[in-house]
Amino acid sequence: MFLVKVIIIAVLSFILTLFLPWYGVAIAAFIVGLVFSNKPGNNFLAGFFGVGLFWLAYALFLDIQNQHILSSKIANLFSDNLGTDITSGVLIMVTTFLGALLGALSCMAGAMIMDDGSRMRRKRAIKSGNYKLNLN
Amino acid sequence: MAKKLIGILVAIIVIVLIYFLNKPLGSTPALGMFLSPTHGFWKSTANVETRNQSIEIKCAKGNATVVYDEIGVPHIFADNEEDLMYAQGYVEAKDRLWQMEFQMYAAAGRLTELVGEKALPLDRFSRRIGLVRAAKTSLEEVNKNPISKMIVESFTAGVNAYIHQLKKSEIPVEYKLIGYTPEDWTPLKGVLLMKYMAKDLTYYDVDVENTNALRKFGEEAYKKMYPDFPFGLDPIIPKGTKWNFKSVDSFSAKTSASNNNNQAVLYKNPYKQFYSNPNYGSNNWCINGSKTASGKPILCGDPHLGLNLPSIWYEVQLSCPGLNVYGVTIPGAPGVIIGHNDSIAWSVTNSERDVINNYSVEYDAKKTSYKLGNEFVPFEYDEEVYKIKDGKDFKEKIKMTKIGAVVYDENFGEQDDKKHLATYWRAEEPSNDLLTFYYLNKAKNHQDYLNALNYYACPGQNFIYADASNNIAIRQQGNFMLRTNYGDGSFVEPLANVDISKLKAHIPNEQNPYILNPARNFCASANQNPVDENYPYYTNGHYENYRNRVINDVLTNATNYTWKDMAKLHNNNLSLMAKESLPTILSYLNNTGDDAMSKKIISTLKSWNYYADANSEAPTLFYKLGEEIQKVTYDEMDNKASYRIPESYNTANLLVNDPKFILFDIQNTDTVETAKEVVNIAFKNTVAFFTELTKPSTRMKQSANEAETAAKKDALVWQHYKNTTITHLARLKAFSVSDVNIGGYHNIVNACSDLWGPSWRMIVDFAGGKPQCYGVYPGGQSGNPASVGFTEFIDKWSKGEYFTLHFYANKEEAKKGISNK
Repeated sequence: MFLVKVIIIAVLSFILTLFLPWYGVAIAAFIVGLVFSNKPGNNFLAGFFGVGLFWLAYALFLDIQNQHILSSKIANLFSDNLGTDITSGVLIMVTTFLGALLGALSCMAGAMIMDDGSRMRRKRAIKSGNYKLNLN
Repeated sequence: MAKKLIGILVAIIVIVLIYFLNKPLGSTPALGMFLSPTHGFWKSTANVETRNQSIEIKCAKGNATVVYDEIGVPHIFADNEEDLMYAQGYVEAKDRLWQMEFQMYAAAGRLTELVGEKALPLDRFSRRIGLVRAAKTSLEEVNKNPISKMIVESFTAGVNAYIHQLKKSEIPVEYKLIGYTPEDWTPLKGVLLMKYMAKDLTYYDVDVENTNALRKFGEEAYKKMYPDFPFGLDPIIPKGTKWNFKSVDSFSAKTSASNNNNQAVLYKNPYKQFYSNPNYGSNNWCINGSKTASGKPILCGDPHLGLNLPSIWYEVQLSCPGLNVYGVTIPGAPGVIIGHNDSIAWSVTNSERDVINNYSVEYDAKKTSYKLGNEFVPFEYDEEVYKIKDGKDFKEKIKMTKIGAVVYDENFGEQDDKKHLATYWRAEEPSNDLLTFYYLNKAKNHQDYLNALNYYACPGQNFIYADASNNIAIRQQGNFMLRTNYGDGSFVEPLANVDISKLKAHIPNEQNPYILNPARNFCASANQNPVDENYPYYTNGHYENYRNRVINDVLTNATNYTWKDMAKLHNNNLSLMAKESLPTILSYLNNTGDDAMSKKIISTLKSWNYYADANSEAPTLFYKLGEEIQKVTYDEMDNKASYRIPESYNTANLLVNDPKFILFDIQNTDTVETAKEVVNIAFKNTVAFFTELTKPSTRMKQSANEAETAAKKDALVWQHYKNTTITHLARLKAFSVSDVNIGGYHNIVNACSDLWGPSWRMIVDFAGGKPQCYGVYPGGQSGNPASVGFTEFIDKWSKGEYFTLHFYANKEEAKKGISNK
């Protein structure tokens, strides 16, 4: 189930950013969080890996195709401005982490806003007759 | 419930985070957008490779085929001229969009929209000198002619077709870095580009500096420092050439500038830094069949401009019925500016003629009108609004006179009313220069070339010509002011004295300096004086006096030349300045120190062959010594007013031939110094400078020290000291290439300086009957930093090597050309 969620976030991120701005990935993770709400920690990780892997794979794909020409120039640009040595690899990591963090927080927020526990737990509870509707 | 609240809180945090990541902070781009693979810089790598492929472009009337060859040169084939221009616009945008637009922001005085307040002085300067006003005037002229109107409109449509299909996520990375998106191209921008080039090649005016020098040093010294004709004069049109016409100037002689009023006024040019680099120049030459191995002519082009990435030039082949031409253009300009077709080849160098007059303004009491003749004429006003990134609009009203704007006044750099300057710039006269290139591109013979040139106005250029029938020619063409008296247009004069009809009059085209098939069997120009004193007009300007003599000397002795000999001349590093002046300089030295550096400098300079090669140390020592000599000599030129350092050839000449010249005297001593003392002081300064430069620092750790000592040892090597840098247009170091391994310098045929130099080396050889072109420039066809093509040619350029370029007869041949790769 976790893996499925990760894949859905990645795929939805890709689809949404075809016509939405770059932060479409946060929206994707948030929606998945709402729909497949679960423990916050579980969603955090799903968002983290879903968006993180999508950005990692996409950035790597474009960068390898470009033979690192642009990424090394951008790395130099950041190095000049920050006064430290930054490489293409660092850029990939920063990009991945940024996406992952946004995905994680968004997915977790979605799940927490839904706040009716895991669907799996709910289903189990309904089956066993212990489920109470929270009307507050 | 608490969980829900925390969830909402986290969501808000995410939104705030996204808000900040989506917002540029100062010069830092919006990081979220910029780093995201879907929209950020990663995505600007899409579709950057074009070479060895053929694309079809749907144009206004039909399709055009574009075949990109192995170095990314597009060969464009269309069925008619409209589609050809459309496709050229499309392709230039595809390869160079950001550069095209950025140049236009600079030309239009709109850089504040991209970089904010800090560009405001430059933008105001651009607008006050009238780049856009000039472009608007000329666009009217362009629109009056159906051909030029068709060219700019088709080209514009092509550029916009490219922009409209471009995905916002895939725009070049510079847009994302600065944080803006492409806007539509317009016919005005195309014309503005010509005016931008005119600014680049004429706006180094020295009226203010000349006036100051004349007033401060007197006429005798002035004429020695800034002679109209230098020693060893070797003009474009050979000395002694007879002119079979008289000046058409029927105006009466006016008073000499040295005795007009305001004698005490010395000017300070407040925005000299925005003037163009006066060293920009060029070489071109051609020899006819009597000097070549093949019996056919060879023509060479070698424009020297700012070294930038993306490169100023873009190679292209344009072909449609009635037209087939290869060469370079400036991104944003239609047609080919320097190149060849089946029948002819041509290139240009800057004329260096003075086309700017500065006038002091006399106001009425309310400062709402200015004196012209005997009456006061009310100002008109040019109202300008500057949009500023992250700031409020800035508005100003520029005072306009009948001859141009009051560029410097109380609102812009000059509080003293007596020093307010109105500027007349020839580029503001209406012109349709575009047609020159249109007709040159199609020219079949020498008469077509002459007719084409008649449309050309500004910046004045030396158009060199060779054709397959073994004719060679050169003509200096431009809209040049009618000047006949010494000093005309060289000094600030009262606006009240201007006769507008005289000011606007020009030398008839057929009286411009011109020669066809000269007896010496070659034509050449290198920004030197166009003519000698026999020419019926006064031709003041900013001229060179070394490159021309080296080139003319080589070509005079040329026999059985092939294109490879021409390549050698392109890359010739002989410093004629050193050859002519160094022996005298060394002979002036006495009592030099016993230290290692003094000895090293003297022995290195004594054994120098005068070639400024990249790996040699002598040029470093020589040019630094020369710089010090100038500093010591011209100590009279203080910071209170603006002065111009005399051309280095004049200083060198005075040093050798007039060592007691009054300016060699150093002001703050009781003794009278001559060139000899100046050289000795300059030498001591030079020794001190290099001792310091090569001194290992004591604070460094042992290991770092070794690497540093090695670097310091190399510090004297010409390549590293000169540090030729090809700078990205937005001045981004990470996108620039520095420390290029190349020799040469100012006043050397291979004029490769620190930030400017040979920008397109072209050799067109008619040996095979059909012209074969060899060429290289310091950059690459792609203007996209993500492409291999961005810097691809730099290596070959620095080594003095060339690409053998393809000139295809038709698209089938072109497609076959790439399928063999």
